Amino acid sequence: MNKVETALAVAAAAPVGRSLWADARRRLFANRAALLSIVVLVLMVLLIVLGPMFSPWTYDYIDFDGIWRAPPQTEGMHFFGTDQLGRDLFVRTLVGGRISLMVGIVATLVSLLIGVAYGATAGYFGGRIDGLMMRGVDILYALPFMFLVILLMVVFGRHLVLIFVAIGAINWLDMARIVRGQTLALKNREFVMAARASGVSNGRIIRRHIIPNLLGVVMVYVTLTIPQVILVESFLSFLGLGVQEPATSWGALVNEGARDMDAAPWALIFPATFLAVTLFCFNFIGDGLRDALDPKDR
Amino acid sequence: MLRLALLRFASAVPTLLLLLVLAFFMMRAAPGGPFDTERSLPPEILAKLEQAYHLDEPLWKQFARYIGGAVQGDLGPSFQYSDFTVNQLILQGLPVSLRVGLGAMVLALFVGCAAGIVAALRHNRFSDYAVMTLAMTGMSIPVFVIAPLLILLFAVTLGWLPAGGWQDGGLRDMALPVVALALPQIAILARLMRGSMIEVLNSNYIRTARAKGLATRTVILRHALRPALMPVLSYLGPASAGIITGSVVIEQIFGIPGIGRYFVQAALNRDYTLVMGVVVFYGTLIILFNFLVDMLYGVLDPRVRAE
Amino acid sequence: MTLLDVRDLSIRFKTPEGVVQAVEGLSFALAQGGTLGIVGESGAGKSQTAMAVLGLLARNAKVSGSIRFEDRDLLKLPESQLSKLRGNRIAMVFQDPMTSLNPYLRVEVQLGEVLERHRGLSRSAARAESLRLMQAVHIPDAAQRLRSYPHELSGGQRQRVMIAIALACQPALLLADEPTTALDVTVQAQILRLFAELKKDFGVAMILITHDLGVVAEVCEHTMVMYAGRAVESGATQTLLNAPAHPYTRALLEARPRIDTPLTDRLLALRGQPPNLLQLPPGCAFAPRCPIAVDVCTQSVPALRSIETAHLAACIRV
Repeated sequence: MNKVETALAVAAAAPVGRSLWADARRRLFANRAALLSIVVLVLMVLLIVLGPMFSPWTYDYIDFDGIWRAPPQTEGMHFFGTDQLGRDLFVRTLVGGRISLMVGIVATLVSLLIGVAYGATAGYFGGRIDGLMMRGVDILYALPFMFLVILLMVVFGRHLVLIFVAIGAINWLDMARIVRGQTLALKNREFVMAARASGVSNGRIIRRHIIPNLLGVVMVYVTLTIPQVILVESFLSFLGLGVQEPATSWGALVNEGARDMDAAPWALIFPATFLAVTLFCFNFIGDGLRDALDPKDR
Repeated sequence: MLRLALLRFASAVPTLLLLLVLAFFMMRAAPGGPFDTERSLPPEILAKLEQAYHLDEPLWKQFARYIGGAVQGDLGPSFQYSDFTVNQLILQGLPVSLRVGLGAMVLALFVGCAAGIVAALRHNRFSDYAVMTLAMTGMSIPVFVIAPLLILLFAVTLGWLPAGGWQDGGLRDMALPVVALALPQIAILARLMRGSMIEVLNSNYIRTARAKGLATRTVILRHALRPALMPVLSYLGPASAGIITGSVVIEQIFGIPGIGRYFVQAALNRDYTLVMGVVVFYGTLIILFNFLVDMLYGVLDPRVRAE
Repeated sequence: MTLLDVRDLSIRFKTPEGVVQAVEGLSFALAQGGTLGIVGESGAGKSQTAMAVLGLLARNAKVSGSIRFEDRDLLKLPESQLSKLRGNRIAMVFQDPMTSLNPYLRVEVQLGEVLERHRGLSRSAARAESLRLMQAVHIPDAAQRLRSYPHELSGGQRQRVMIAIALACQPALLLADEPTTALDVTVQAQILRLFAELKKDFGVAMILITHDLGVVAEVCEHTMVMYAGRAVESGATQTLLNAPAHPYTRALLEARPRIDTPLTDRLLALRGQPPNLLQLPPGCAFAPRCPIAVDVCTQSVPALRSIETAHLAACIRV
């Protein structure tokens, strides 16, 4: 990096400098709902990752002698009871959570990558390129994606990778729109003009100056997209188009639980609670982040 | 105004076309045919069947045939229910789906907007927090969790309403499915309405209206309501898509004989034409709705109308 | 005859960052038909004073003191009584005409509703009166403009509409908060001339809030200079302009663009930043920026005292 660019990089860092982030963090932590959500979410992740190790059961062990055992089953170590095949619901709920969370995070990352690249490019170049690219987004936006995803699942069968790709491919549209708007506003700021005036290449300006400054909106968006994606996955699982047995997800568990809710309400209540609490936390954190980064509306 | 209509229409057409292309080629790319049943059919019968359904023609010809039909409103025969065309099946389910969907839409709009306005007017006070917490709950609990819980409470425990089914399609049949379908949209609309109302109430022109000494009611009804409703209006498109998507699950859970139930059955049975028919039908509906909302937005906003 | 008598007005806002002291111990009076200019930088408390008179402060505001208007204390009036005064006996024109009119309503609705509300006119009577008012503020094609939406009008025309709305019920007091700041220079002059004309024709008392001493010089008989929520100098406008007493007033005057001095000298006149209202410096708030400050200045807040007849200043150095 030459001298001019170093100076520019410092200038670019300034608007997202320490004070702004420190301010945002202070405001986020002052938001009790968001803070509590962060704590709960961390505990949830720990439980999902480590929990199954403390159970003698595996998620796919079938025990026909022990079907529909009601919790609390401390003796048999079935903390959440068992399902219609005698499988341990504690382990299944946690392992299902792994899938749900993983789908949420991976699919969001997919949409993030596509969306940021597309939106930043359109916003940065502006003019006709922008017009054309956003027209494409408009056209895609009006498509009933949920139905196309269902179609995709029907046609190509249930495959985890396919779910990632399909959901990620839906959500990048929002991301692209948000990032484009921000980029349009950013590119007229002094430090970007200065970089361009001194002959820094387009790719480098986008990478060094535009993207770091998009971080705030992107973070908010990511926290709000993850719960949406988890919801879509559970929706697919509910229709029987999600993960394959014996693997499971919260959506699939809720589906099974709902079928037998008269006989074994715990099979519905535990996964449904886990699902709802997780979505709750993500939504609260997302809201809190947005307020913290943009304290305009208080 | 006319220019706006043409412009919007010009972007709706490629969307529709894209929808048809995607749906058609996805279906045709499927491994396994529609006649892969448990017992394999003799080859000559299979060939007859494929001929009857034009499956032996080259792909582009099939596509052209399908598009040609779709444009004329003919979605072809159903593979599974061989006595029916897709049109007949959709038309059969439509009145039921329409009732439930429209019911949910109207309910969501009224309750969602009202709750959002109350929250905005009581900004940062108890009713605001209460509405927002409820809305967050509504957003965080999926339809397919809410629905069984509603059944558990109102049908199983209290016995006030039927747990499902469709006797005469009256209010008793509709109540639970409509509420379950509307709840997530109520949550989203309430948050949206609250946000836009707060923004409008903080605007300079509301300050002017207050400085004129107008009654609070006049300030809100005449000056604040319309601008605050505009973001809600532009959400109507996505809301209708959400309700249509949700209806697939709701019809399944409550055993309602609507389009959604056919759709799920068809998806599991690989009834290509029926799945595609429903996708195209609902897709067109959503695209059409988006178009209408865009136009309505133009009519209601004097600044857009002027362009 | 005194129309408005503000005594010891204090306005504080409770915010998450702390208590903001917007206005502190402010007193002033305005005679019927009189004109007062309130001058100061942004954050000096000018606008909040006007909003307090209208009873439109934000909900987190705490107000003390008294605001007597036509022998009633506005701070003690219930909202129902206040709203009958607003737009009727007391009217206000805001800074930004671009956003101060409702973009969804025609001009005739926004003008007519004041007449219907306060003067009880019928819709058709209100329309006729609106037309007269539009002509009074010199809007060309008044009848046609009444049917327009705000976005179809120019900035100057919108501000004229705002003024027409304010004058609709022949108020005793007109508050104008930076009414020309958002406008082009030529339009500014036109609007100021309109104010001067209306003052004469309608006999309305006026408080003009501005950061521009030139505007005050043109319209106002009396001027009050505010700094960090307090009045630091007040008196007849001519006196203030010719013989400013407070170093802040002097700095403001020196900061005005003039042809006879080089630019560099003048920009030095007001060094430093406006004070942080969350944490005001001890003593005189202007002391950190004051060229003639001494140690005592940072110890106690100087009181506003008479330095000659009808000329007050809050500075121990004059």
